[in-house]
Amino acid sequence: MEPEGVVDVLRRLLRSLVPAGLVVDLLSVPPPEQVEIAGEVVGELDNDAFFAHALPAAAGLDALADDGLLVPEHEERFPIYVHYPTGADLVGDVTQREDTRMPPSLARRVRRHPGPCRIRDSCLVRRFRALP
Amino acid sequence: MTRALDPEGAHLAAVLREADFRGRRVLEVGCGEGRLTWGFAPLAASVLAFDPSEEAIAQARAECADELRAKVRFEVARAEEIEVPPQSVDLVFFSWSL
Repeated sequence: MEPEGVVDVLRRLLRSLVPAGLVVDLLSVPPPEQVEIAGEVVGELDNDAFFAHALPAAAGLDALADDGLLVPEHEERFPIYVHYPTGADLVGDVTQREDTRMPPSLARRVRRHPGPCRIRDSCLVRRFRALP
Repeated sequence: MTRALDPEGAHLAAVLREADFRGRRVLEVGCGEGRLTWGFAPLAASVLAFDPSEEAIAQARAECADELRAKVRFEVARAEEIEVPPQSVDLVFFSWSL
């Protein structure tokens, strides 16, 4: 969806809110996802394609705040983890994603790892309040 | 392939820290298979959750607990097309949805 389309959709959805209703927005944000083995970061995924559409969408709420329709009240950054039993499982999962790539050298290293590993994803949750 | 997405529950914990869902009428945009819905729906007064993925919504409907069926409704829809009555919800929850 184009950024201007996002704002139009958000405006329409927010008409469903009562005055002073809440908006909670949860999304993945940079830095890119990191691959961890035994607690050590061994490399980063390429999330550029994902962020290219996700971040403009999130910016739509900021645009509505700039227009005076929403008031930002609070935000929090936090990590989440995706766990895999083996490196091959991790590589196989990432390979199936449409908008994320794994550098070949990282994929070769991770695929050889026989034990548990995980991906660390940086997230942001934000709360806005709708103005009457 | 075995994959465990956020088994620690960090997503849901952060969302519940951000807003009090108790007694609220919630519109969830981009609910997927309901992974987060199950966490706040017991607190909410009602939930309309939608996602463009027919497969995800079918899974959500199939996995909906009996005690939630009276107040949680899943719809296949895109954000651009869903119709929600004006001023009918108290909280709109977006999860990577647009």
